[in-house]
Amino acid sequence: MDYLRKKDYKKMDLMLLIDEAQGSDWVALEELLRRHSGIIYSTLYHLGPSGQNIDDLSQEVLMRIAKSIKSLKKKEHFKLWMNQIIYNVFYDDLRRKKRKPNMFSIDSFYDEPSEFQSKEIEDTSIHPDEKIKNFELDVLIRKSIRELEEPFREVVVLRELQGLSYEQIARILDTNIGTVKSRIARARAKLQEKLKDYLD
Amino acid sequence: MRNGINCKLVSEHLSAFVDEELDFDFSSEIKRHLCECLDCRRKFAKMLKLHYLLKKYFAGESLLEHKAKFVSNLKFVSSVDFVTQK
Ligand SMILES: [Zn+2]
Repeated sequence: MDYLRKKDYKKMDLMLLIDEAQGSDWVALEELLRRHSGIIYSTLYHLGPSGQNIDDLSQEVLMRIAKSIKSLKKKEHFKLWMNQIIYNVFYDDLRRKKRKPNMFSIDSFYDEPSEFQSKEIEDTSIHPDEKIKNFELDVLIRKSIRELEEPFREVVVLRELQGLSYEQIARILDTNIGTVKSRIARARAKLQEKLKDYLD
Repeated sequence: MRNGINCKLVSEHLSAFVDEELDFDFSSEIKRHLCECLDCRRKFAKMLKLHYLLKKYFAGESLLEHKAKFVSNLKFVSSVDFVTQK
């Protein structure tokens, strides 16, 4: 019974799921959080190259979503709303850390090659050479995003990972669309330079 | 509307063009220019390729072991708490 119930929630349309979660259905809320936990983690991970504890921050975002899901007025705005929470959690934490320098190392686990090397990629459809090439490219992209200055990194994550519109990004960053537009263009120019070997 | 569309103008707006964030008329002008200009077409192809590379990277990035661990270890004791708290 429980199993069947869970399965239904897994397939449930996002808007319906939000509806149920807002109606105090905790299974729906759990599924809603579970469904977004990965992208929340990735977003925080890519936003912050400064060794913040991504696990803790992701938890905090999930908690805030759970606590305030009822205050979300328009379900269609869930993605924007979620990103506003991510952004707030991230920068609250960063501000706290900045007041206490040397609390964290700049190159914590982000560059540890073991993180990736230790994991065998179980995809037999990809030729080994291809795997290595993809792996190298992944590492390079990750590094390139990390090396961007904060305003450029932000827009890349919000645009390419979260798929938000310029207007939504402008709202989150509390700026105007023109600024978002030019930052994205400049961020891309920088990334093109860093990834030029892969773009020709 | 914008007379004298040129390579410089196109290149400035290519990024927003890829994101479909330009108004219809301007976007059409850029399309027209791209049909005629090989140079800009190359730049466009590059821009598009970057866009897809990043999309692919973010989508496939379940490779990230920390993320996978985080997602699979999630325990929702707290969400139950939130509902029962009130
Ligand atoms: Zn041209």
